[in-house]
Amino acid sequence: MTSSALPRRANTSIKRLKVWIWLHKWSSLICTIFMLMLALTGFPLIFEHEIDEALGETAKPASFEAKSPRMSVDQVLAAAVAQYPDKQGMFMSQEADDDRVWYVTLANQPDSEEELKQVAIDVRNGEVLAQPKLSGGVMNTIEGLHVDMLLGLPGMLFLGAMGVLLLVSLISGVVLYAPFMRKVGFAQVRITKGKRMKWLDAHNALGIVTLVWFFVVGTTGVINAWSELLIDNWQRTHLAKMIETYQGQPVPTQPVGSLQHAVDIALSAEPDRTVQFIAFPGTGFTSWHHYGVYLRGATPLTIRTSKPVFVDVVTGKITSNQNMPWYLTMLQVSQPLHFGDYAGMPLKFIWAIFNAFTILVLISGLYLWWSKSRRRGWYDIEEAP
Amino acid sequence: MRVWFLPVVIGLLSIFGLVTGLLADGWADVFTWSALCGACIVCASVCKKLLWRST
Repeated sequence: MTSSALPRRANTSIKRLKVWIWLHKWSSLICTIFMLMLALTGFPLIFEHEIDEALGETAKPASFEAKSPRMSVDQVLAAAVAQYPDKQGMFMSQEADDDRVWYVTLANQPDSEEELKQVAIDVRNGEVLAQPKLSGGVMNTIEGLHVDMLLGLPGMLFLGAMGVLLLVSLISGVVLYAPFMRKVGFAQVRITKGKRMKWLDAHNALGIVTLVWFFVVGTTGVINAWSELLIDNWQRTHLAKMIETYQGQPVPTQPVGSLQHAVDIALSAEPDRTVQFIAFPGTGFTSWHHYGVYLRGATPLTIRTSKPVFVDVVTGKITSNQNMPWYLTMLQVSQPLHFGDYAGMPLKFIWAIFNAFTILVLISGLYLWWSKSRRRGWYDIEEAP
Repeated sequence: MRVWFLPVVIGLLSIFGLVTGLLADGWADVFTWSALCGACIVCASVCKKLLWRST
């Protein structure tokens, strides 16, 4: 029976199906090569912490008694600066699960973007535990490729656009799933009907089973691709408002107030939180007049979110204590869903396994296009049983 | 409807798995691993079928 002999309704539905096939084909084809790159570079990044540990890039503090005396934050900073006397503090941060180590980032100027150094200091004895590389090295290069293809903001936005195409291809793939799998059965592969049919069934089955994971990782990847623009917007709006009363005032000269005092007063204002990082005066996360003490939440959901408390470096008083805007909270909450680092090592392995299956979905999609494009259309409507 | 039943079940399990571990620790992590393992096992069985005639 020719298509003209079909009832009008069937004709319309074939036309609609063709549109979805076209959408799936082109959205997938354009983004697949970039998604393959992201999936391949994603593998080592899932285990970044473990790899860094093996490479000696992560601090491994010796186990002391839990109640060992601790150095003040000022002493920790001094111990870090002693390694690079020509540099000054830029940021200090702590991991959520280890308050024995401070990671101190040093720079020639607080707003420098190059020649940054990081020193990990044991807070119990001031020992230098590691000096993680902030640029160069295998892991930083892999991360650079994954985040922005080493092209900076344009690369990030481009990958974000590829992520949007991925989401289009996933949605169109769902629409095409039913017509192509109606008589095949869930997760079945027709192994006796030729190589192409076998790959088509496998592509559809793997695609539908990994759909939620792929969609979540893709969506959070797109959100992350906008991170620089979101932070930039926050700096121009919320942050600017938080420090607007200091506009035009001269930059305070040394000596400024105690850093430990700034941390203590911030924690006393937010007793349920712990320190995530401290931004030094002059960095993009505070003003020339403030220590920016960023505090993390205490619950599994809020542990990656930040609340900035700004402490005047001269008076030692809190001048601003506001929540982050919704879009930065969304960015921070979405990140674990991209990294897969929120439920221990088993989840990291599961993340890697899903990653492998999605690589198979991408490769099978490419194969289907390549094999069919040499004959007729990419996906033939006749292949729908 | 039949074609969608199992994909929807797997999808809902995956969503709950992904979200639960994010909201709580302990038992929630175990639920996350188990729920996502379900999808991994189905994928592994598909791969096995895919490789069956190729080897």
